[in-house]
Amino acid sequence: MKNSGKLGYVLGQGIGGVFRNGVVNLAAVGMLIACLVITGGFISLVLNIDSLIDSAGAANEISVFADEDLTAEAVEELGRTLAAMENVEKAIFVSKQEGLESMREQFGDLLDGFEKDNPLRDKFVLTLADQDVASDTAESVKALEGVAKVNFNKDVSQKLSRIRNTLAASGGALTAALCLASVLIVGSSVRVSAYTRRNEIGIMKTVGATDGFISAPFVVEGLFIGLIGAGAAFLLEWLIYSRFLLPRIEGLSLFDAVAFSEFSPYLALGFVAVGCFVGGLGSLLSIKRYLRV
Amino acid sequence: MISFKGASVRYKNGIEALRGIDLEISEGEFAFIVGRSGAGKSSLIRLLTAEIKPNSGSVRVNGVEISRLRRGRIPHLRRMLGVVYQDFRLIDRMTVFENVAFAMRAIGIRKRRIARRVGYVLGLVGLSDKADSLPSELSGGEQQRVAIARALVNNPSVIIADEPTGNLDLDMSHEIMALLERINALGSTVIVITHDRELVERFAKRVITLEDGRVISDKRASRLFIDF
Ligand SMILES: Nc1ncnc2c1ncn2[C@@H]1O[C@H](COP(=O)(O)OP(=O)(O)OP(=O)(O)O)[C@@H](O)[C@H]1O
Ligand SMILES: [Mg+2]
Repeated sequence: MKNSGKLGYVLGQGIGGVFRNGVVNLAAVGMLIACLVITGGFISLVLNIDSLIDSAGAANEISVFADEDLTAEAVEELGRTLAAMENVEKAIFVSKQEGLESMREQFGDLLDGFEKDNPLRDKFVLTLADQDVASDTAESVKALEGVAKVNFNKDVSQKLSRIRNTLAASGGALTAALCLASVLIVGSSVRVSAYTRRNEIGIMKTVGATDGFISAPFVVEGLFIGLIGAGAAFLLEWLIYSRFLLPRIEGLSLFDAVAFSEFSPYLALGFVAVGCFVGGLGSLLSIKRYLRV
Repeated sequence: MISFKGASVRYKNGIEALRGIDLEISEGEFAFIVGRSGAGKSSLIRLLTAEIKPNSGSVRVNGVEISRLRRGRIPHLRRMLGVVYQDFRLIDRMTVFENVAFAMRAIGIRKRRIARRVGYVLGLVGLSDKADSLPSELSGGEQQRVAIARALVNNPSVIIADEPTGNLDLDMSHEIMALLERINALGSTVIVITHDRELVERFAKRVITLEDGRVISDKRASRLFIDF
């Protein structure tokens, strides 16, 4: 129980500090909320584009047609080669008979008579691990022996991937810039708090308080600003997404929109982590100079 | 015990504040440090509290070598020293009790122990009835006694007062000196920096005189005339 005197002091002073400098801290919280909400907005858009890419289905797949004159063993061998390729998650074999069956389901009697002289080729459907390098993978598949033709929905998948990546990158950059700004603003709000208490800090130094013990309340203050910002940003994000973004995405009825609950736990964790990081770092950086003496 | 061996301090602006100080102050001693303005008196104290480090030579407090002290160990050193400043350095919005208690809270001591100890120390400096007053409601002498109580409260082995009577009239100065004498009698080493010749002559104690960063005289307790 030796620490109970310290813990009470640190928490009391730290949380007190949040309210003592209400206006300055309000600005810091506001900045943090802006940072997190914008980040969350980008994340939700990227997730929805991922969902679009998924449901575009074909975009995620490459069809590989085997040469007609390959033996059954050679086709099997080709399947193994494909499955072993980099970036290929699965290679599903669709024999030309199966291909014909599925076409007959669509077109019916029209295709009667083709059984004896099946014009289709044996085919492999590849599922890719990484959509971004789909065209590279398609190129290397094309170069394989016994491959007659490669089909994939190059344009759609590439365009979507590009949009998604641009969004993710610009969102990331904006987030980094806003986080930096938040660190500075939280830092200056904690600095105001430290400045108003510089006499106390000086006295603490002379009576032999450790730097850790002197800074702890300010770090607690920073963490609190971070947590308040994270909580408010989460609520705001929920409102914006479920009231504003989601209805519009669903209105397009192009694909399954991502429900808020699908990513909200990660979002909450991320917000809290970023908020604590920003608050803790900001206060540590700004308290440092008051500890010299 | 406090010892300086060939301790020199040069500030960044090139001023040599202390030049080869050799000095020993034993446990339980009472010593005045006197000298003109700029002689290096405060620099000597700053060495003891590790606010500055000697550029050469050695400074030891109770076996702790200041020149080799790691930053993280400085709090440990400062808990052995209670420093009283001329300008009191009290916190205006805290009561007398809170000001003294603050020094204990600052090193993480629990509330219950604080209450008991602060009450005792306020009794010692004769301020029990002013515990709930604010510093602004006190006389200069009373404020200085609060500062002394705060320096004492963590039970340091050395009390250092830098010009404790500089802002006080004669009666109050004597009162403060009598208090420091009583604290010395209770076992603490006491070091007092002063300009006040009358005070030094009246309280016959060891007198160390600094000039230009050097010890120019070191007289054991006597009532002889001191020249500085
Ligand atoms: N932080 C500093 N940086 C540079 N020079 C300093 C610093 N502190 C003191 N000095 C110089 O060092 C010399 C000794 O100063 P010090 O404060 O030790 O004197 P002092 O004896 O306490 O004087 P006083 O009686 O006026 O308080 C002076 O010349 C002073 O100008
Ligand atoms: Mg001085």
